[in-house]
Amino acid sequence: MWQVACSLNIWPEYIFPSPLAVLRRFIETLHNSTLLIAISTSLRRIVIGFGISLIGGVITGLLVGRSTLLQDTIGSIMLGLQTLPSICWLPLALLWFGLSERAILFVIIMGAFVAVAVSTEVGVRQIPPLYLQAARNMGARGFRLYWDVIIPAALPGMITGMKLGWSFAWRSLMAGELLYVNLGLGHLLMMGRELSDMAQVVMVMLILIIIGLISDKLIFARLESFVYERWGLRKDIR
Amino acid sequence: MANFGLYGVPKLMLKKVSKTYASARGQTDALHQIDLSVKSGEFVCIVGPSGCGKSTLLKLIAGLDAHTGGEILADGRRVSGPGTDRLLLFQEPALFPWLNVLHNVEFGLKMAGVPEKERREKALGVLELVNLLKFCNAYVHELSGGMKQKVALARALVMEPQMLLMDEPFAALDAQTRATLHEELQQAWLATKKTIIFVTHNIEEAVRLADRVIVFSSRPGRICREIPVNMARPRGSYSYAGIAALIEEIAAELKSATPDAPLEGRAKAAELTKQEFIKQELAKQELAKQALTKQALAQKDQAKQDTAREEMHSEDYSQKVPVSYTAHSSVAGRLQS
Repeated sequence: MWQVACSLNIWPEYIFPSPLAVLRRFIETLHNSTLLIAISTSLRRIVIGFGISLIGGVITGLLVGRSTLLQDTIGSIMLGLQTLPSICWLPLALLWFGLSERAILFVIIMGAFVAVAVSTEVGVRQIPPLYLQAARNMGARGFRLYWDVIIPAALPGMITGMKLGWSFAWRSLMAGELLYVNLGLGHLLMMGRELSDMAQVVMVMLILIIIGLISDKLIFARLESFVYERWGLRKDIR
Repeated sequence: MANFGLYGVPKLMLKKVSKTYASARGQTDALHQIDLSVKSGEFVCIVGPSGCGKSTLLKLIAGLDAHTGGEILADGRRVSGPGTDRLLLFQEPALFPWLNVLHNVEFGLKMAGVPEKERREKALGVLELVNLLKFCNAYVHELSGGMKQKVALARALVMEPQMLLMDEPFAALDAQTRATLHEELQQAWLATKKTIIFVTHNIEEAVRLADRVIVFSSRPGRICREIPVNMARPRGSYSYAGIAALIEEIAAELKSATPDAPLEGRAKAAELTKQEFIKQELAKQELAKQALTKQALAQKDQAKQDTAREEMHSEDYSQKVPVSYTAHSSVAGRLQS
């Protein structure tokens, strides 16, 4: 359909590229390895940034969810930060870290960390008190209470946080790369714009969609359905 | 078995135990100066209107909530926190959905640091006794209500507690399942003489199970009467004239213990000396005859209702593998060990 629309020649090629042109560009960038470098750079950034956010966010969420003192202090700060689009941290990050890898990681973390922490905290708060009472009655306390009861009980909330955090991280990364930061897919996209190379722009966008779909279908959808099945939250959808 | 624990100390001793909740609207008295002493191996039922603090009392005894006045002594030691010698069975089974049946039962042992092999053996043993061995790999949402409650019982029994605190554990079950679980529980208790404190709002249940029924009045909760139930066991429903009479008596007591007239109930309790009580017992037997005929009628009604319920539930049962409730003797054996 796309090819047919292009063959009609309604729009010039530099505004609406044909799939063949996109494919040609894809093979070209694959050959001179710019594409692979871009994908691997972006993926490395997001994996590191998201990984740090996930670990830090889950720990913060678990602690804040169980303590009223932390809830009143850190909890409210987190809620405030959540309203701030994470790309707004970029100017600050650039001043602090310079035009470096650390600046973009900082932006990713600021985007994903809070989302993960807040969802985890909500997950912890929504644990039925009955589970905690039963666990304490059977002698669970301290670390064991966290590891064997609170973490598994809050897992549905944590997974929501992971999904949310991942998409926030991805968005912050692209925004950062589009604006300033070298290499990466966002940068490739921007270069396409600057060179008026529409085929490259469309190609990068398609790759972004594919990465998004893969990460969602392969990781998060599976995790989610596993947890929901185990918890008995979902019976038979089909 | 001796009726008293070590050195004749009661298994459980409550001395003027009070519980006050502070909220934004001020203070609420949940329990007011409860004095209670429970012997080792005694089966005590607490009945009272909803909101009278009977569940709160169990939580205080379990150490899951802090009392605001008085003293609670379990085995002569002051209760200051939860302990695995006093296990609470909740109205909801409170099983963990992320664990399968086996791991749920193993949970307490795991917390106690029992090695994996040993706790697996113990858990499988208890599951076999409650006839749920087939389901040891099932997850909680795959079980019926009665099965869940049996898993919860197994989870408590595997810890070999000194005292079982039961907070309306059968309230959410259907009539048949409840009746069979009553039987099982009585059998187990008869063989082991474990100390059981059982909270319910079902008077019939209380009279059927207890050595002693304690009637609570509401807001603030306090004991307005204690009624011993000296009838042979095991007791079936409506099998004794005395049960019907006692049920009526407790029901009357509960009526007088409504929030409007709590003091009246209390005064009544104070007036009742033992002798009067015996007189009443005699009068009761007269009443019982009348009550029996009433009860026979009621039973017919009940039977009708039961068949109706059975029809309703039969669909449920056919989906699950039928559960057999014939494990009393084996549960009993377990309790004893």
